[in-house]
Amino acid sequence: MSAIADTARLKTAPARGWGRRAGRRGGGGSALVARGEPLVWLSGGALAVSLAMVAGLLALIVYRGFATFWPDRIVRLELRDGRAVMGEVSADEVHEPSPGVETRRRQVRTGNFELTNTHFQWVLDEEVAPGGVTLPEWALLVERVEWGRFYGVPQAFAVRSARPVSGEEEQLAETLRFFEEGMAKLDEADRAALTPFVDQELRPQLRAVQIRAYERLLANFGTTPEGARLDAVLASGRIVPITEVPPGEAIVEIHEVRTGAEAAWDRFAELHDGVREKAAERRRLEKHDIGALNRRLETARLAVRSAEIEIEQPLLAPAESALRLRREIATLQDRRAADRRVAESVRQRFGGESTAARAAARFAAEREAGAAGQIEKHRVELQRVQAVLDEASPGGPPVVQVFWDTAAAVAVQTAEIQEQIQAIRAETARYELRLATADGRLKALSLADVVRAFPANRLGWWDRLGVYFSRWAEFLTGEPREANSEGGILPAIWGTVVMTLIMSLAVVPFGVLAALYLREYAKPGPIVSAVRISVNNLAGVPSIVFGVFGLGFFCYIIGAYVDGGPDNAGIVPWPEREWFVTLGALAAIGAGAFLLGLLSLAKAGRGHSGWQRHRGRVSIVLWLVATVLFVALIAKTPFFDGFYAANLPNPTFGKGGLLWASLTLSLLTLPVVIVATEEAVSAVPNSMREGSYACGASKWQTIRRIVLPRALPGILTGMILAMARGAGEVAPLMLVGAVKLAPELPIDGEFPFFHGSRNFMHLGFHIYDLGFQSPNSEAARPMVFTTTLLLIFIVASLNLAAIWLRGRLRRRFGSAQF
Amino acid sequence: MSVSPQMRPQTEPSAPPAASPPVPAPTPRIAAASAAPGVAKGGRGASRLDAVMRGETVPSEIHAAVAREQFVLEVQDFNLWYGEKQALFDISFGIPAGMVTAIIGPSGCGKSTLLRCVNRMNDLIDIVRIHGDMLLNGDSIYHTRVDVIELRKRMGMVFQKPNPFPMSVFENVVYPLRIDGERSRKVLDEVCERSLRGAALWDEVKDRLHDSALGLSGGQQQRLCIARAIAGEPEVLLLDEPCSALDPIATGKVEDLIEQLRGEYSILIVTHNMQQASRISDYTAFMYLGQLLEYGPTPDIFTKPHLAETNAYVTGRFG
Repeated sequence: MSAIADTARLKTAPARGWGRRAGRRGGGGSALVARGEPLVWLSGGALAVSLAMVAGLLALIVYRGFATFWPDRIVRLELRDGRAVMGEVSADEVHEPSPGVETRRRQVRTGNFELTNTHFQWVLDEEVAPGGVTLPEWALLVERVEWGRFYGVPQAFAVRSARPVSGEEEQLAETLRFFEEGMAKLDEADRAALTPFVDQELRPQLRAVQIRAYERLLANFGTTPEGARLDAVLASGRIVPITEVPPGEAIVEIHEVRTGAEAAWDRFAELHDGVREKAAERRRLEKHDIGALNRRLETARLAVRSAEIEIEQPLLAPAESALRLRREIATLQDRRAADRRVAESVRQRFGGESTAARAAARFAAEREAGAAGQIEKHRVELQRVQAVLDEASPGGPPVVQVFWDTAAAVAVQTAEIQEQIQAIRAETARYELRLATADGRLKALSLADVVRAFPANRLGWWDRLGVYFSRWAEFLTGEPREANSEGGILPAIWGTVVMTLIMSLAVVPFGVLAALYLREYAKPGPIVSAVRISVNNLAGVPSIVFGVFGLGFFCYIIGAYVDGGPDNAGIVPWPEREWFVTLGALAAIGAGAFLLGLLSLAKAGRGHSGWQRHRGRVSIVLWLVATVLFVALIAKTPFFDGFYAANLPNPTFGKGGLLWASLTLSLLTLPVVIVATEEAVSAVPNSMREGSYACGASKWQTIRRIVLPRALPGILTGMILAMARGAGEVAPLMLVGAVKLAPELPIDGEFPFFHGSRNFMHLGFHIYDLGFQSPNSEAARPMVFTTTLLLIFIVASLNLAAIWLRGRLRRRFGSAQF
Repeated sequence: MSVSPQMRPQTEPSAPPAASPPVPAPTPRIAAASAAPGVAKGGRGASRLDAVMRGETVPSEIHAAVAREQFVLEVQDFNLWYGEKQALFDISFGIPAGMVTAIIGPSGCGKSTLLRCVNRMNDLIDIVRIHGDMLLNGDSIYHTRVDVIELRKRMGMVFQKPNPFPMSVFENVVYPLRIDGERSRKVLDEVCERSLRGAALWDEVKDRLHDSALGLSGGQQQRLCIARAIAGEPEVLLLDEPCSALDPIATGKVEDLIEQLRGEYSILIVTHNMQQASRISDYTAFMYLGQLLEYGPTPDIFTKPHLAETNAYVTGRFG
């Protein structure tokens, strides 16, 4: 500002001599330089342009990001060719089909993918019939668990009630099945003898039982609910009003139907939440409870595998075959028992001497003979397998027994949970909303499959706001569905935050120690300069290179080593004797290095004789050799077979995962931390160090008590930069563990709570996936902006947290000097 | 050791080499001074300064009164080189116990270097070589077996610019105890109060002991540094131009403080300011180009020095 004021003053100054002198000295150009301060405008302009670009980018992301979830109106377009299109207008633009001809075209999100095979449709203005653009009052937008959105007008709401199946009906149906199966194997004559029985006795009996059951059901319904109509579904699949059911026809279901858009919508709104809760409960059972059981079984299986590796005899394969054989024997025995039961029931129902009873006994005997042979074969096989196990330890090793017990328990519990799931499924499947699409087709949607539905054209502003926030809530707390283009991104948020935090934990100590050595301990010279230049250049290496390194080093070498020892990592271990010899050498060299180091430190200040100076150098060389030997000893140990050998050949840590991704990114951000720390440390005035030394502090005490606290805000700045860089990085993550859909979170309530080996989702990768890998990229595009907005928000929050921390530290040291 | 250039004493490295060929401007004035009447033993003055400039070692003029004192610190034939450049030449003198001894001399004469040699701060500079020894209460300072850390704990040092640490006033004062691992709150409180009272700062900061020391004024900061220096009960207190960065009022306070500390501590002070030296010191050493020219009781040095060069310097005719 003051520069502008100066300029103004100079311009108005009448000073003649001034102007003349300036003119003489440099001509017009230099007068401009002298008076106009062009550099102020130049630099200010550059700043303004940069700010405008950044602000523009942010504004675009914020606008598009926040607009994604706002519910639009649903438009119905009648076309000249008689078709109709209904949906949300997602783009509206001027189109030039041929040069000089301009027209308007609209992109309509039509949904209904399973009917039309497309999510979007372009409509030119000429195609639209005159007056063909309407906003149907009851047009409904349905967001579904599968198949994307559905646009339609509700026609009816149906609650289906299946006819209950009685024990008698079940028995008759089983008998009928038994005879049908048995008859297929008979010859012509025998079959002809039996057919009248099946067609004239068995089937009519079954039908009679079914009709009785239906009549009972109808009686249960009592009167027809108000505003509803009862439809019956016949066994033939035909649907008729309940009053028009042909006599003697069996009925499978009764539908309580409410027709009319408003009635259907009211009923939907009334029932939807309850059904969704049940569906959520079902998903929880499927995912959580069944998952836990599977893990339990897997743990027992891995224990057997570990024991197998330990005793070097086959255990797992025999144990699993034994399990399978026992199950098959049990199944065969069950079936035999069922056959006997049917034969017995036929004998009771139709008399012991009837054709049917004799045929049933014959079928049962035939099947039993076949089953007996099967069972015998399985028994022999089982004995062979058991013998293999007995070889390992008499009666089979205890782990195998535990495995069998676990498998049995898991099977029982799984069956129970499956039963619950089936019950919920049957209950939630009773409710369906029937909609008419724009082209008049009818479609019934099960309420369990509907995430959210609303009549978009009837909503007021506040209702729309409600939908908006409900979508945001789902986005922030839900799991993705529909190839990530719908639903939430909680796993990605979680993965990004956890990865960034672990990365910071890994990179800050390393970077700070390295920088301290470079600034405080190392003698300045060509080597230190070379190291510094290399570190700075490391920051310029393309990040994908770090990804390749992380994959090759962390995953395939370190990870494979952790999984299965040196062999698995492709390292040939030393024989035991050589290993011990090397261990001895390491001990000797380490002791030598330590002693020499002590000696070289003990002398101080005065009289650096040549040998004393060399002692320090020799000590460092010895330390290096010792370190190399130490690494070699660990890498080539013959005594380590990995922590996860039981899982092989499936890798546990020998593949991309959260831990390796974090470490790769910490390598990537190491230069940032080192450079920032070096700057901060060198900015600590030497007078402080001198003061500390003069008080009798040692070097380390000085660093710890004076240099580090004073440099801490600068170090935190480095951390902030590193976090910002790391959280936004995508390329290396694609190689070391980020996936488009991770079934499990990297940190959860399951022991040991942190699972560094798991794949994870990451917001940056998610953006890439949405933008370029999505099968429905048009629908995913708005989500790109929303996800970007969220990523920026998360990075900014992490940084703000660090900045707040830095501010606190600065206040603690109470000075404005930083 | 990575020590950046500013860690070096600021005056010495620029000192002219011992055998610098061109004779600096002061020469004629010194010649004039030596010709001035009433100067004792003035006849040899010019040749003595010339000899110093030629790099010859001239014997120090040490007053007989000094020899009667008991020394806390003795410097014995002390020489120091920065790389190839010699900065101190054969310096030998003793610092009397319980007294204030000032070292004066023109810029670049090696005052600060000498002071920093006492607590071996010059160890931090790689290119420094020394020859000779110093004795602190009879114990060698430069013997190979001496533990520098322990040695420094026996002395306190105050620098030109106040350098309080970025921590609270309290932590600043008890820093020497903290690095010794003292944890007892009682001991720390006691030492803090005693040192701050000793540095005449207690009344000003007793209510903000736990505020940052960087919030104090310059003079307060310097007295805080003195408090820190005396917290460890040093055998000798080294003050390196403690008032050069302070305004006159703060300077006055620090000088008063030195008055108070006299007798309790043995103080060695380097100063640029001759009035200050004459006001506060008992003994004064005059150094020139790395050599100790004259050393004696302060009144004698300022009123009837044995050497004409000293007279010329204290009367402001050169330097």
